[in-house]
Amino acid sequence: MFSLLKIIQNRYVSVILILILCYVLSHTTFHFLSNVNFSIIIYMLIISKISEETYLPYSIIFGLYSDYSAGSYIGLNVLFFLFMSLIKMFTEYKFDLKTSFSLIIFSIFAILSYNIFFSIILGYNIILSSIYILKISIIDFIIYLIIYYLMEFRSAFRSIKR
Amino acid sequence: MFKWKRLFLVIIIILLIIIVQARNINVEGPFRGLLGNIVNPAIFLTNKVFSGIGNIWNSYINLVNVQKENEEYKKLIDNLTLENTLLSEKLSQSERLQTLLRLYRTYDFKQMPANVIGVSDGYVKNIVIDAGTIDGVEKNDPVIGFQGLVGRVSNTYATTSEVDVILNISSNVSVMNSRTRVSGIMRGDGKGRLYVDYYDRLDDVRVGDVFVTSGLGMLYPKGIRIGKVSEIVRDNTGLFQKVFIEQSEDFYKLEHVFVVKNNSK
Repeated sequence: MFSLLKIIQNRYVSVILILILCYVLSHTTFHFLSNVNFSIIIYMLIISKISEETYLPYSIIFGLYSDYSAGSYIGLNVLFFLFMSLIKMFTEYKFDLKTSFSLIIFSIFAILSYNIFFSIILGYNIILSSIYILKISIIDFIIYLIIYYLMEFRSAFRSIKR
Repeated sequence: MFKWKRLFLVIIIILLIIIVQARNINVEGPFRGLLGNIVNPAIFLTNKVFSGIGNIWNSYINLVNVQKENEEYKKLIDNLTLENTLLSEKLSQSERLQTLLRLYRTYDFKQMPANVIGVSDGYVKNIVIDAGTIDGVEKNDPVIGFQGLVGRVSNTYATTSEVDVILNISSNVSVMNSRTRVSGIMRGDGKGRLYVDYYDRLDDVRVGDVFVTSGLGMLYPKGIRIGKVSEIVRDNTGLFQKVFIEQSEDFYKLEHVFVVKNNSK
């Protein structure tokens, strides 16, 4: 039991479980969630944990999940997340992701790029479907912001308690 | 120091995997099958659990309302409500099965009934059904509902399958106007509507005309209903016109479908 708990608490396993949970819920009772791209939202939420040691496993996990949900060739989205991780790692010296402003700019860029890339893979016409893609990107961004600030508040309260 | 070698190695492996998949369409790799066999039963169970909770909640609401209405007849009304719910459910189930039976007899191709256990309405519009390779479902098998064509099987697992509905942007179904017999290629516009492309500009298509599958392309059998024409868009130039179709089937309210088994396979 303890070892199972330890496995679940592993950062990669917990991300995989969260992604599977989101996929299952969006396909069943919470059908409206199928319009939300969980992989990019969760990726942005853990962006601070992306480092030289972790960027490969995280890119593979998020990429494979996206490829599975898109039904596309396995590997395409892995390349996308690798690219995003590299951008994050090589720009963080100039582009401090600890400040809210730069994080918001980066998240807008990441979410929009993901949606454009995802829709290209699925054969959407970027020009004709631009409004649809923008709409989904805005939904993703709002959900990301809500969860991000909720997490920030939680950690702030925790530190006050201590 | 950043480990570029490791990154390049991973990228090369991924590119090789993509090339292998692109060159061999039937190769899906173990990953998809593995995840599908884990996730789809989870979808099935979650669906069952939530519908069970929903029923309990509804029963509770009914109970509270009855209590408020009349305390004296609480027990009697409870029993009657429960009985009524069960009977209505049985009645609606019977009606659904009768419709299924009628549909089964309408078409002369082999069909396999299946229940819908999951629905997705994102970029990929698909449904998950509770029939898989064990039941004989194969990739690209057409799927139909009470009102007409639903889509085709895109991925199969042991006990479940994913069906890409025709609303998908890449669905490309060969259809024809049942009145004028002119064909075109139908697909989703990505916003939840169906339209027919490459449709002869000179054809006298009218709003309300019924479109059915043409049988061209060998994927979908001929004569399956798609829906009625809702809008016609003619540009000033060009050889074709765009015909928008209001689909007969509401893909997100489907409960039962048929997987069509092609006898010629």
